Amino acid sequence: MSEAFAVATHGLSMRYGSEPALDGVDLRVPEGAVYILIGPNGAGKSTAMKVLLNLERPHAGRAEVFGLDTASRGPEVRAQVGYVAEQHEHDYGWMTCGRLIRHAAAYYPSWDHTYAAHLVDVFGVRLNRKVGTLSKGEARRLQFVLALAHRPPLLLLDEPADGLDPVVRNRAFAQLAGHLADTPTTVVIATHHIHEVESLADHVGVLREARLVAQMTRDELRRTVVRYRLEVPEGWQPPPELRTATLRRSRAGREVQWTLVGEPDEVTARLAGAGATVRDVTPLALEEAALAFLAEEGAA
Amino acid sequence: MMQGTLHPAPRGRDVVLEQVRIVGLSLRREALVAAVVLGVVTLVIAIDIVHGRAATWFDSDEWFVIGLFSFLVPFAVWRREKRFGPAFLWTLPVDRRRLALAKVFAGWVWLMAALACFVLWQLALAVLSGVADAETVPLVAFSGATAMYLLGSALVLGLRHPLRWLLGTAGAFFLLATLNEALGRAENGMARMFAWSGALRWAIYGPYGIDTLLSSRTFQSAVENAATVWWPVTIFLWLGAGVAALWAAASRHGERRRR
Amino acid sequence: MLVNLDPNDGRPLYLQIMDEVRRAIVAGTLRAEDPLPSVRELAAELVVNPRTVSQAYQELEREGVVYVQRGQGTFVSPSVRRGAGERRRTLAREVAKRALLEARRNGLDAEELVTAIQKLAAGEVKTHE
Repeated sequence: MSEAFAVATHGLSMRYGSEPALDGVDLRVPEGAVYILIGPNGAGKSTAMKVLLNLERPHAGRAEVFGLDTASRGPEVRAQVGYVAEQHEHDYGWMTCGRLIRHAAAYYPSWDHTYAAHLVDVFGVRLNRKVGTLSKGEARRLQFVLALAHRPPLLLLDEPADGLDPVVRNRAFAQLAGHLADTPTTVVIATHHIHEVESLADHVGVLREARLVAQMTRDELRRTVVRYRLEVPEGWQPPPELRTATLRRSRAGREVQWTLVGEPDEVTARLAGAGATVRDVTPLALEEAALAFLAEEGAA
Repeated sequence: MMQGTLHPAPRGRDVVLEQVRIVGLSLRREALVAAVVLGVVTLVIAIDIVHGRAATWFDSDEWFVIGLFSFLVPFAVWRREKRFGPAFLWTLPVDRRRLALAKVFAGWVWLMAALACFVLWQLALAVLSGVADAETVPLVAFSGATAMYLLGSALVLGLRHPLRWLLGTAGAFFLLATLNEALGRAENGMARMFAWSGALRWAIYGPYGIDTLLSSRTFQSAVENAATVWWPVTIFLWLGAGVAALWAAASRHGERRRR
Repeated sequence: MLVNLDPNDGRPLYLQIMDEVRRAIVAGTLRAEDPLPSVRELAAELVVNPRTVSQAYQELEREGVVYVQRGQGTFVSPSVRRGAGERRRTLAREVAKRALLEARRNGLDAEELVTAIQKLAAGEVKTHE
């Protein structure tokens, strides 16, 4: 039984000059998921989204959105997508916000005018202002309106919180949560402001140095990425089979704090078998767990 | 599965209509400038009519101005649009080559409207001035203007920095032409090297040149029989070249299909 | 109904929501037949995935704490008063579980924790006299 995927990439690879942005990435975003794509700047998150919209052509691999090949059926794919780009400057600086909204509406037969008016209200977009005169935050809010108003089955949000102050951020994500309740939507959020979207996420993907180093449900992450506080004897060596599961390790005297990936029961047994005393087992918040994946491996 | 509930892409007709609306909106400022200029010219002509010097205005040809104007309109149409890179335009659910062509078409519609207004203005003035045998822009110039518009659109769409290319090429030809003149028309190797300027002159003033294109001048040529063949062929050549260049330029923005 | 989610709580969000509902019932803020906030409302208020809220409500329905009226929303079960004692015991057990976990984390055992609790409770009684 195969799950229906809203987004599926197969060996996606993309370079900018000699710098790889994506290296053999196999994204799997199930339908209806809220998928957080985590990674430091320049890790290729934006590139992945641009490939999905066919704004960039990958050097290798392919991508599918709702089963549609993104390269050969670009317009159909884009009809299913609401996109909030990373940059906030809008091309049509000379248009008023109201005119731009009506312009976008012409391209999406599924545009909900009533909902668009409601979104304008919620996000406080001033329709008479020229787009070129908007501040970063206002431009971002306008992008939200444009992306949500046609109730697309897939939302691609690239650093959506960027440029928004905390109050507006909360309002934006609250609106997104409400939107999800009304419309069956798959959301992919690329961000490094993790804790704001933590409560919305049910899937996580970690992109580090162009590779997808982790991809799992939020529940699985919570269960398997765990910090162990150990008391170890002098000269203790960690068991070799656990080295590959290591995410983060710090040491103070005879106490070692180790973040490992794996089923806790199994890992605890192995640690105990290697001579360590497990004092504490702490599940990690999403942000900490993600940071563990991004940290240098084997840092002592 | 999603398949049954996929959102539809917009209809071609709606896309074209919206482009016509938005291009018209984006050219408002330019249209205002043109109206002001025309107003000033009207005033000057009116003064001349009153002083009985009207005839001088109606025996010159504006074909060059119309040709240049049509060639430059695409620069105005695409000035407010980011053509290269991840622009909003390319994130829309429309085939990108078709969308570029739709915008070009929208600009053409407004160009034709502007030219029609210009012709009417000319006729009105001619009637008012009472000048006999006033030569106005021949209707056939519309096709010539279209060809120039297509070429200009191809330039703007196809190149990141069309102005640089344009000025650079013009500058180079000017330099070559000057050198050609300076060296005289001697049959030495040096002079033949600068014959490129001659090619440009042929492109403009030759039997299939732009001059013929815009003014259908050949109809007024002395040698009627031989000359009437030139104009339809010229139109065909230039329109064909325009369409081909535009198609190539628009394809540069087309969807990135499988390699 | 005020719901607070603790970001540092390692438990799945839907369990936290369920606990909050039970807490409200035990405290009397939510009474029998009272409506719960709609999935949409609660999701927007807490900024959580609506599916999480749905999951919480469904689990509560399975436990008989709430019932769903189609088209109307989710309501607290009428039998809630009768099960109050049971609910209090469940809640107490949840709180104790967390306290015990915290204690173990700090290297304390259950006995030490119980002694500390008893001392504190006695101290509270004294200050209230």
